[in-house]
Amino acid sequence: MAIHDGASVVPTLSAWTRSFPLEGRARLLLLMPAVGFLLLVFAYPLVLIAVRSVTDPAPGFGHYVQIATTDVYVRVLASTFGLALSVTLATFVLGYPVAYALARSRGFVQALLVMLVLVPFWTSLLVRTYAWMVILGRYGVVNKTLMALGLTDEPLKLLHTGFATHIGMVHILLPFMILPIWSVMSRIDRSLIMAARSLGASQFSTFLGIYFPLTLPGVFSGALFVFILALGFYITPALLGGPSDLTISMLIAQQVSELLAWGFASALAVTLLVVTLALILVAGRLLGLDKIWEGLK
Amino acid sequence: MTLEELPKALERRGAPVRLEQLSKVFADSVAVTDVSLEVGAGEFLTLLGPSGSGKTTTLLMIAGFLVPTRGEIFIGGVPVSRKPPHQRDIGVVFQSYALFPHLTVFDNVAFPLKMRKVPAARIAERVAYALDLIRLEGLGGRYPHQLSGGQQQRVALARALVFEPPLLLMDEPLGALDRKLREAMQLEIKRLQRTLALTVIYVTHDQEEALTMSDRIAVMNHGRIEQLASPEELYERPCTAFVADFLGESNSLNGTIVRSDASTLVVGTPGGLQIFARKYADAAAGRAVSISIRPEQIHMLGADEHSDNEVHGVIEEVVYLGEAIRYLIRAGPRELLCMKKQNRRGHSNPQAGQSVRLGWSADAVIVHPVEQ
Repeated sequence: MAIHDGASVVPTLSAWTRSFPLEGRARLLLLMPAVGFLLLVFAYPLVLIAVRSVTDPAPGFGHYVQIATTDVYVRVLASTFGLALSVTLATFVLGYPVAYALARSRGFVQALLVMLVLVPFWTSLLVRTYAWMVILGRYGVVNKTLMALGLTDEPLKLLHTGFATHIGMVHILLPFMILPIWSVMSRIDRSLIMAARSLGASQFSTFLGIYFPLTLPGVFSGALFVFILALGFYITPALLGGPSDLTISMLIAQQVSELLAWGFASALAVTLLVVTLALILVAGRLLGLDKIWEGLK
Repeated sequence: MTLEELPKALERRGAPVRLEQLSKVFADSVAVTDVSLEVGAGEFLTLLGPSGSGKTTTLLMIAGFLVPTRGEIFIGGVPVSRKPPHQRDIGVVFQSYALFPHLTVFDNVAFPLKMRKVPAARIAERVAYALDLIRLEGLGGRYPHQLSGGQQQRVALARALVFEPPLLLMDEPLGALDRKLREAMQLEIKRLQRTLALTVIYVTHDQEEALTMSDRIAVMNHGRIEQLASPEELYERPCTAFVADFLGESNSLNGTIVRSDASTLVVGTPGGLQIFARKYADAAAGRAVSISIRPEQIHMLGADEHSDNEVHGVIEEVVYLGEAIRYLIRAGPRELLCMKKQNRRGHSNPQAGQSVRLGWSADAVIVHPVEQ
């Protein structure tokens, strides 16, 4: 049984601190370094890219017309979004139960689970991608095992397929789904679950009607992280995917490094950015962006 | 709808509850030991005790969230300890209210009815009754975070009552409310319980709340029931020193019986006080006892006034309480007595450092044998 006297003190104290906010100028001064940094290394190059997309090699919107009217660019753009969407769904299906296990476990088991999620998260993306190349390669662990078991006579083509791209990306992005969901789950009041059960809800109805809806803010923010990161993935699809699994980022890299078409590459980048922002805006409208922010809190 | 019509709308009445030698052992501790009690249909019973006394564990076992290690729970004569919580049909009100934040007030109150597959039209009707009952009609469309603490508490109550459970469990339901609101809600809960003839098991650590609301109180300590009795009996005739101390204020002194007559006892304290008390069954000279005297039973004696017990002392501390004044009086090296005096206009109140003569009747002294 808790002592409740403290409860009435805390809000009062926080209300007190709220009533004495930092002076406007002091706040601005504290924000200056971060804002300056972002302007210099993020906003300024972004503007440069946008400008270059309509000036290099000649002024005009020619690049954008070309992107919109060329079948292959539209298709690559669509398949990139398709890939990001299916990776997001897969990370959700795999990550939700893990987040639940994290939220429900205690002590040593929880510490172990956290390590299992975070150690790959801290490992370089390149290292993990190469690891998958070794595992999925023609004479990699998977194929050798399958052949040793006699399940297949010759090695299967696993590497350089859409399947390999999916595996690699899901593996790398999983923590971005798990962590926000876990954070929301661990803040769910256990008494809500007990209340639902006492009011006549079976375990399944409690999950469906109470628990799952309460975890949605975490699911939304996790999905947003994964989706946006997946859209810009370059190394993993380039190393694990096949020649037909072209993503927009690979297309951009190709334009820059092989064709030196900086203007066209910039136009592709701006297109990706604009379409992504538009999608997020629409999704935010449909799902309620406030829920996403609540999940991030 | 008036209050008198409400019981007709909510037909089911409270069921009797029986706990039989209920025990709960956790991996590292024993939480509840051999708790047996009976709650009559329509009775308001409170489990009162300090934290860790096992009262909440007992409640959670009745609700079905903990499986008893031993013993059985009967609700309306039916053993329920093997049933999962959602099949027990018990209304539970939690300390944190536990309102579903993503559902409106209406949907919160409708939740238990939906789970019971009640038709939508009937749900609307019943939720309206329930909101009426707690005087929150018209707030069905709000979300819990848009309500005040008191309103949230009422919604939690409506939600726990709307499906007409034969038993209502409440775990410190008023703990988070301020004093004024808490007192108003106490009366409100009591009114509902009487009107609907509900069986209520109420958990609290607040003795004043327990005294105000309960038909009977089970005082718990270290996982056991110390005493189960009406509020009056508990206060007037506590059967252990713990109960005397936990319910209301009490002066507790240790001593030894020095003399035992036909009807009176004399207890000697280490500081040399001789205290007269009424004799209890197996009192014998030489036994170690602890005695309790309520502060309001002690009076300051005038020059020509006399009492069964008379003690000289010096006022050490004066605490102004508003309606009364509390004095701490040194009556011996280890005998610091607390007394309460009504604060009446026109009466002079003695100050710290003053010598006084205290008196109290032998009836006011409660003697408990000390286990050795």
